[in-house]
Amino acid sequence: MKRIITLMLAVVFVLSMAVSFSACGEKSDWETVKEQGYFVCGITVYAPMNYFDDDGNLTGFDTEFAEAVAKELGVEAKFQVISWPNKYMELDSGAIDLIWNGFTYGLESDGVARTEYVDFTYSYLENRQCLVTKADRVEELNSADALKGKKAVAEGGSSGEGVANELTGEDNVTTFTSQASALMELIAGNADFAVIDYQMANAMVGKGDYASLSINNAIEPESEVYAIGCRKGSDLTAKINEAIKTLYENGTMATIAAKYKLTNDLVTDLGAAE
Amino acid sequence: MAYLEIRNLKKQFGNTRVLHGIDFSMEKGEVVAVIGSSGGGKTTFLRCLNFLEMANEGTIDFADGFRFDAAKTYKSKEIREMRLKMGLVFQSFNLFPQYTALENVYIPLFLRSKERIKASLPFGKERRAAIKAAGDGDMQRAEALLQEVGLADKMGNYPCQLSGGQQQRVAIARALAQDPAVLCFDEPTSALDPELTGEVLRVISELKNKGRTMLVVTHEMEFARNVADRVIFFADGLIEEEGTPEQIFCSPKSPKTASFLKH
Amino acid sequence: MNFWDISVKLLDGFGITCLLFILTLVFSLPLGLIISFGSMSKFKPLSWLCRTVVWIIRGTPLMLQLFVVFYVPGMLFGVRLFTGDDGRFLAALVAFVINYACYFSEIFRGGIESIPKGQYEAAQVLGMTARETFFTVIMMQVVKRILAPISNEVITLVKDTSLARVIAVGEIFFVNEMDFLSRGLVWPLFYIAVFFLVFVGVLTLLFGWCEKKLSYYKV
Repeated sequence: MKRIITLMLAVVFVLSMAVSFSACGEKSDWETVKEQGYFVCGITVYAPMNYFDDDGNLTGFDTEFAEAVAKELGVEAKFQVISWPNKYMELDSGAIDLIWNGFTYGLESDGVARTEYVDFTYSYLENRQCLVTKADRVEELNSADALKGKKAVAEGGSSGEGVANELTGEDNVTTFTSQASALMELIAGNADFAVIDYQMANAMVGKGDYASLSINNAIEPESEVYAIGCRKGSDLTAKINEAIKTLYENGTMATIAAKYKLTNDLVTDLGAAE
Repeated sequence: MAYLEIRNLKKQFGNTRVLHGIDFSMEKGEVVAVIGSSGGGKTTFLRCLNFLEMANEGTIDFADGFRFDAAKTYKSKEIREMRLKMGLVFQSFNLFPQYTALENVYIPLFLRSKERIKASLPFGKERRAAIKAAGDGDMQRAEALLQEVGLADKMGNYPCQLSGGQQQRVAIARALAQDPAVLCFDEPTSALDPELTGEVLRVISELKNKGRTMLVVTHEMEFARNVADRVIFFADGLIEEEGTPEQIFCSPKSPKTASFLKH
Repeated sequence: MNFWDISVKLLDGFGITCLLFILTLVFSLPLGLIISFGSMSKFKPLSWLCRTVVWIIRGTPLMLQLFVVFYVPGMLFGVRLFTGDDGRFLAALVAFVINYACYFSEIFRGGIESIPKGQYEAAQVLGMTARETFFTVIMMQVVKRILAPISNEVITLVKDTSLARVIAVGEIFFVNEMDFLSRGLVWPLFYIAVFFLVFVGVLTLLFGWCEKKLSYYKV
């Protein structure tokens, strides 16, 4: 299924590249956003980036961050829950304007750099992939060798999928449309370990519905950073970078990070990744 | 001039010639029985007269001066008008199963009344009133026709609730409703159990007494002999022989006729 | 999150599911009839065209058709056909209507072609036009014949609506996936099953009633 979707994406991507050359002279992204008064962020629902609070309102670090950027730009931020594997189609078709949901600056699970598909803004938050197992199996699954050949789950098209592929081989990895569904598999006992974002694991694992799970430090994948994905060639990238700079300078970023206990993970030297 | 006059009617399907040039005429009030072995072209002849098949050659003259000429092309509206000059009762009845006996007679009749009124009156109150009046008239006519074929107590029944003989009598009433110049029957009793043929044949005899012009394709030799004014014998796409029932049944001239009647 | 909150959210999603279901039926049944006439047409190019469309639509996954309708115009031509808050719903509706119209058209074609020639001929000799023949004589007989296959297709549609989640239409499964499954709540899935069971139950009763209504005659 994954291969089929990848293939389909590839075909559609090639076609869209071919056409995008002929699509000059149209309104730029920023002009469109300014005119309509909003941009649309493609998200999936997970803490601490974008999630619903007890009153049913969308909140989270990325939610507030996006709203702050929108305010700087004098527009509104809208959020569209998407199916994560479809994110590039959503972006290229114009159904969303930004991928803004703890989007890792790095590789797609098949090893292709994500910069092939999107333009990244400044990175803003430190992250790493993180191993999650059932709490009672942390001792058993304590090394890379112990994980080899075990059943793994991850979100389709996530960085975690790539890490899981390396650890146990592609054939043993099952992917889902969200990180949360991957954790569900783990709780249900259909898989031995999951690879998800550290930020999500830190916020959710071991609590509430996920009480039976635990972060497993058997391996520590390299750290990575989150950035916002914009359409290739979009002038929105520069606009958002400007706004991010301002938010750093006036302390808004620090305030938001503190609210979600992410102060230590906030990227300090802005623009270093570029 | 005759009431119905057919000259040199020819029909072929692909390369198969079915009718080789039929010349035939009928007088008003005459009942003609058509006999012959199957494959002889009797049914195709009837279908050509009702324009279910279009003849390839020949002419048909009606008493009202209208002439069908196979060499000409006709619009579908004209073909519909020509069809109404003829009536046809099928071997397999072909009643509309979702309608009652009364509706089977009434609906086709009313559709034509409606068409005529719509053509003559502009849209409005007057037209609606005329259509309603025509509907009432058609309903009475349908009831009278079903009474005439002896089904006064079966008007509300659906075809599946009627016997084959009763269904065929409804079909006759339905064909009569349009008041055709000539009423054609395509083996009207062939699909019936033997004990049910009598009631249908009786209805046809009664119609003869009322002066209906009828053309009956039949295998009922007894009926042809007793009811028909004239019998024609079809063989190999031609009228092989025609005459009064006595002539045909007692002293056939053609050997083909004689051999057919022996069986 | 208590039972009441979850019920309200799921009912919200189920509203979208029902709307998608009803609108799909409203548009695909007449469109299916038109396509079936097209594929029975004596004008060959038209009938080939219709049959090819039916072949393509029945031969490819509905999921792909959803992608094509919603994403491809924007990706290839820079034209967004479905914008605004209802854009995703409309895109799903278009894909569903086309898909189901093709399936319905084949059921209609089978039904229409199964009516004996004698019915047409009887109508013809009584002077009926082609239109009168179809609407007063043929149609009700076709309806009776195709009721069972149509009811099958309609019940399949109830459950197929859940596929709209692939383009993020907020129907009941999407709501569940994003709001509950993502928090580790599994039982709402079974709760959803109850919604569907009740809905299909009502439809089954409805079709049973129709069948009874039409049982007064045999075709």
